[in-house]
Amino acid sequence: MTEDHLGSNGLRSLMAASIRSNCIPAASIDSALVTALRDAPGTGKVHSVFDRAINIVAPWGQLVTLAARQLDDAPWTIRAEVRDWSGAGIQAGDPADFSTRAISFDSADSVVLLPGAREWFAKRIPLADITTAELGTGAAALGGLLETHGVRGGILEAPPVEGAAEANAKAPANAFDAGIAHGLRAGREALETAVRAGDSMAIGEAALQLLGLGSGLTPAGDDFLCGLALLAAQPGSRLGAARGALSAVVGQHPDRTTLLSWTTLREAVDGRARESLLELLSKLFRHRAEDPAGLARHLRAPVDRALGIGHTSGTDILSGLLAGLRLEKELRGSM
Amino acid sequence: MSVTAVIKKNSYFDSVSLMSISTKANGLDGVEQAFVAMGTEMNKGVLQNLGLLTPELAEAGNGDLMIVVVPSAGAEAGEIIPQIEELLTRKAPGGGAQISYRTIAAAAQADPGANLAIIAVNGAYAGREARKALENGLNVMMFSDNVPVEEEIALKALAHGKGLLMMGPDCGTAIINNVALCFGNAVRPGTVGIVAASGTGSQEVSVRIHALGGGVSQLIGTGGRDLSAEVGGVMMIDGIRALAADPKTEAIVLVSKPPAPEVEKKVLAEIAGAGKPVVVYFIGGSEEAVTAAGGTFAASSLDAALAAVRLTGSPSVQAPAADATRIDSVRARLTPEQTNIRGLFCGGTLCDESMYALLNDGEEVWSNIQKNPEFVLGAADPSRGHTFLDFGDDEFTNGRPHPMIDPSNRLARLVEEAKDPSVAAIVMDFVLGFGAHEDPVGVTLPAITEAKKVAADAGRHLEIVAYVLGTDLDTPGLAAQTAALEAAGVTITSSSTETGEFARAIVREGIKA
Repeated sequence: MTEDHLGSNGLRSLMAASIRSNCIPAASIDSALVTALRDAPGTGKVHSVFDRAINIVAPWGQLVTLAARQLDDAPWTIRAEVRDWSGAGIQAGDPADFSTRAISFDSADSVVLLPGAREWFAKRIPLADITTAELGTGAAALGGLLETHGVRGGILEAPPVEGAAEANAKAPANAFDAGIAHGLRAGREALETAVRAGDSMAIGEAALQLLGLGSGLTPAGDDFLCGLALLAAQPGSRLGAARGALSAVVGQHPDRTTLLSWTTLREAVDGRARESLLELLSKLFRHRAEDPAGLARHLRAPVDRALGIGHTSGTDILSGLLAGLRLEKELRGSM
Repeated sequence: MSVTAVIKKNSYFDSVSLMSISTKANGLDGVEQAFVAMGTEMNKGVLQNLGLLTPELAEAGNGDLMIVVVPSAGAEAGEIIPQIEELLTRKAPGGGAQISYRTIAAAAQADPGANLAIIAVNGAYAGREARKALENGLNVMMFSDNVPVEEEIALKALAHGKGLLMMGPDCGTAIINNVALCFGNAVRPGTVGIVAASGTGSQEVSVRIHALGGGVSQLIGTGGRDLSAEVGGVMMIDGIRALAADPKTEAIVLVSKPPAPEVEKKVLAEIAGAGKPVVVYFIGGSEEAVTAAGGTFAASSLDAALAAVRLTGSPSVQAPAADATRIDSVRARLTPEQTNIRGLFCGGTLCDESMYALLNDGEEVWSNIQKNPEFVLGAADPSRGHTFLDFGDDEFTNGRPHPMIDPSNRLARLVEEAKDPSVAAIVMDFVLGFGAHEDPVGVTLPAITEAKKVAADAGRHLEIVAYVLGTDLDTPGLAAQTAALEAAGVTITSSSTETGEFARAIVREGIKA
């Protein structure tokens, strides 16, 4: 032990500590985003800031989300090793520099570092080999869980069906909410009728009745469409015509809803969605021999995770998914 | 029907916040109906169907938030709008961004300026994580215990070779650049540097320095095993050298439970080279050895603090005088059968200091931290004679939090001790500061009341003596915690040292004489 290589070096370095920028490593990144960052680096702009997510309009116009670690992997999303963005000092309107190595916010002295982030790919759920019986079991299990645990006030209307959890019951608070509920019901019924009929024009018209309908940042009508489109976009689905019509409506009407909701919907018609939804879809058909009650037990955890999306958004997306399962079963039976 | 609308351009609220705003807006006085929604075409269509679409609302875009209010009869919209604006702008207070890292390496890479890792994982994995931290150039404070001694030796050698600090394992207290880490107190910045192998011992010295008007430059923990024969005092020696090189440190205080003799010798040999005054408080240590090494011997934690403050600019500072009449008062209330002291401590060094006060008088003391194996008492063993228990020792903390955080073990024991007719006094410590229980006195008061009642019902007075380790800068503050104890009839001592002296005085003057 000599005098000149002592712990004093360590102490001196400790004493030299000062406040520095937030250097936040990314945990995972959507594979589509990796490619886009390579092709189109530049400066974007912060669109909106929430406690657990920051949305940024990327240099190429795409809405990109920086999500807190505890959130799902999702399309155009980077999950970062942070639990809460509220204290990061990033504000709507701030410039954000995009490169293959980092998303940087000079105004807030914060950097999200991308090297080492796990690349996320949206899984596909092949439906071609799923039987009508399996679709029926899956629909029954998911329907039962939604009736019992779904959050009312969006697609699921009040009054609740018998046996629904009291805490989840919510009657329309006023004329506006009642008007929204009426519109959602009419749009959903029109859409289901049009899908059964295979009428692409009617599907498009019904989708337009739902697009942007609902009070939230992702309106309930959009969420319902999202669930249905997600199923329709999976390989082997018999809802291909519906998917095509929905894709056309979404593509033609970015001005009918919020940017966040439109982005989510556009991804859903391509079969891409949050990991929790894809995981639920995957589990729906993993336990093939079981009855609805048995399957429901397996689905409870992923359904709970999905129901945790937004206020009623999770319920509304699953309602769309459920409608898709029932329609998929009906269409197979009729063939 | 009059309609009042507020449009918030490009305003985004998550769904839960939106629901909350909507519910609150509907609950405002004078509001018949209120709607909160994004300004999409379909939502505006619903408003139109209801006859509520004003020209202003019609202009709202997809990214705009619409707040629509229908006032009740006689209500003034002008009074409602500001309240809704307030709902929109109200935001839960937020702290700094909480950044979490999955690995030490990721954290080090993300913030190249970071230079200290605190490791508090299970002892089985702590060594591996500490090694990663050291290899990434980080100093380490290891809170974890139950780390094999061979691993500690290897880690300290690695740290030493890299010129880094390896504080721990089992290091619960440090103050670096006036920031207390893990358990620590809010003390005045100053010129006394402390290197300590004892957590509560170093806390006690730091708060005594503060109380005497001095301040602390750095407090470096070494871990409780550093001065064992196996580890050899590597960290304490590095700590001395670090503080010797620190221009803000004018005097150094060393604190430890009794070190291994050969290690004590090695550590004392460092004093001469420090170039600064060094105060040595090793419980049960030799004054002759310290003096011969050029150090200032301290027989107690209070002595150590006094010496340090005197050496750093206040040569005439004095400890507050103890009130000797209080002993007489206690003596007068005890029966001849009440001959024993029971010490129930959170802090190991505080327990040690009080226990040694009795041992130095030739008393027999049973304890879970006794060096003499004939007097070792297990956690499950009933008390005998004078019993001093360190509830922070491994046997009590296995599978549960430290008593400074969760005092439940000690509360049950307090009431149990009160049932013993041989008990004259129960001595306790209360540790304030960062990391400690938010109200250690408050959580104990019901047990104190019950213990006193148990004794009173049996026709005995039970003296409860308490020392509150903390400062006026801690939260909760020292004064409030002390006042609460006094109100419950508890006798307060002003330092760990006085606590031991008080216990000894009760035994010496009140019982044995």
